[in-house]
Amino acid sequence: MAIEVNGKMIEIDEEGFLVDRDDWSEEVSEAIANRDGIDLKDEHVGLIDYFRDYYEEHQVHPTMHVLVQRIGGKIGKKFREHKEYEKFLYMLFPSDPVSELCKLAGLPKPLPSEHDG
Amino acid sequence: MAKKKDDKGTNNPGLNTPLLDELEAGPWPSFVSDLKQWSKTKPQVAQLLNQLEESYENRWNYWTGTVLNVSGYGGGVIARLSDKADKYPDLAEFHTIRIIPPPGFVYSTERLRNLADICEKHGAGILQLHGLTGDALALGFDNEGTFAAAEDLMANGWDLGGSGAALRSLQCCVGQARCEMACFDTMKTSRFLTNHYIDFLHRPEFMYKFKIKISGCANDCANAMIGSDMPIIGTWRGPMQIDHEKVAEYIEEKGVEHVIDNVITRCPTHCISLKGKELVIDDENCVRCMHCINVMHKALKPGKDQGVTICLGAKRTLKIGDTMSSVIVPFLKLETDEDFENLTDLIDRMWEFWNDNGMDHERIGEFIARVGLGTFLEGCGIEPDPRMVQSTRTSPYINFEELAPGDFEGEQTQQPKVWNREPESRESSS
Repeated sequence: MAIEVNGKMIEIDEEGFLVDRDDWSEEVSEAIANRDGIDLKDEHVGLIDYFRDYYEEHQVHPTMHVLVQRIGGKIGKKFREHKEYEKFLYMLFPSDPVSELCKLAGLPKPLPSEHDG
Repeated sequence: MAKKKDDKGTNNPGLNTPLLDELEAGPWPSFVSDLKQWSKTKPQVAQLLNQLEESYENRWNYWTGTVLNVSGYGGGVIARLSDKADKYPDLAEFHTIRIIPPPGFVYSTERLRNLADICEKHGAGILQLHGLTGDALALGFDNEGTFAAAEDLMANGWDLGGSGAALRSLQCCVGQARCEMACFDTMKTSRFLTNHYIDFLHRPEFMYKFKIKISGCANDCANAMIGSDMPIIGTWRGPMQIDHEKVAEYIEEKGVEHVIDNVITRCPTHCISLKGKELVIDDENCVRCMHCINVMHKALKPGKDQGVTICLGAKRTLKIGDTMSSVIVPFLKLETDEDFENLTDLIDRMWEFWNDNGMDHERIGEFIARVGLGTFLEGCGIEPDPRMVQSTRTSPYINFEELAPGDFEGEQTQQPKVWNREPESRESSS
């Protein structure tokens, strides 16, 4: 599978994750977002940048826990208010925020939790 | 439903399951018989049995986990793919949906039929009701089936949730609805907490899973003490209720020996004594184990001032070995709205501290074991209490030298500034 960006064919897998992560650019993430039916706004782009920075620093994508704690923690002081931020994330990316953001930021696909049972 | 050995598998020529057939023998109902019956209607169930047979043969598990989410939900679907999809095409996607159960697992037959119809329509139509996880599991949906079933379930008033690193769906015993022993309204508590924390059930965000189970009394029908991070267990304070007439009747009927053998000597703290035909209970030493109440259920009853004990920390082996819960709040009234607010406030504080400082895949019990109970209590703002005992002391003696200052036995050689002893390992874990 592939998508066309600026006349160049970019290789992606079935779910839309980049095959070669060096292919990433802002146009590419926009094209993938279009494919998933998401309209990229400032909030989305800011989060994508955060994901890329975090991955560069830690070599691992941020989890929902990190997002809610680090970014949500700046919004409200109380634990319940952090949770509101998670709601907001699900409003931006209804399917699965972390997986979708990894896709748009050109990061590897998150692994399924080992102990979800 | 004992089956004769002869008519095994005769009705399903597509099935070849000699190892599974062994599970049909004996007097107990068997899931193999049920699924064989069901495989006449749903072809994927026959493939499911065949794959299980192959698993048994090769001692290998052919399921792979993946991620699938219903829109707006982070949990509720446990996605499974089969490695043997080329051989069993219908098992290529075989997802499970977790449905939040009603408090006490009390369904009307109409609702249960409704649930069964939906699961049959979109998936393999296998329901797994209420193991230790506590939620209703519907098995065997492919990708489209999952979304369609989720939509149908929600339209009919069901809700998904409780998988992944989230609050798991709550489990409670029938409580005051059906049981005379219950010390508080378990079903109301379960319903209140489910509604209050519904976001946490839908969207996982914790370090790891968190389970709350609610039992009305120390008999613990919901298996809370061993199977949940936070058991809420009914108890009472003050004296237990004794009906002396009924005691006398009981003794007359069963004899004094029976009472001594089964009630008096089996009290773990030996706080009951028999004076003529009267039971005398030393309430200060009673640990509320409820054994005497269970045996003499007409004569004895829990005390009148009832509430809950909140414990923390049971789990299966992961970072440390299996643990049971230990007391965190010895007594809390749970009747008025204010009491419920206190409870949620307490849970919020514990979650916040655990979430801010816990490591990945760390249950709250392991977190407490790592940072220490003192730190945990300080972080949550809970007053320490002598009743917060993790394991009872097995030896009444302590090694005095370690605690004594250096000059206790004559000459002072060195002064230990810090008490640097390994924590006592529990006997059971060795």
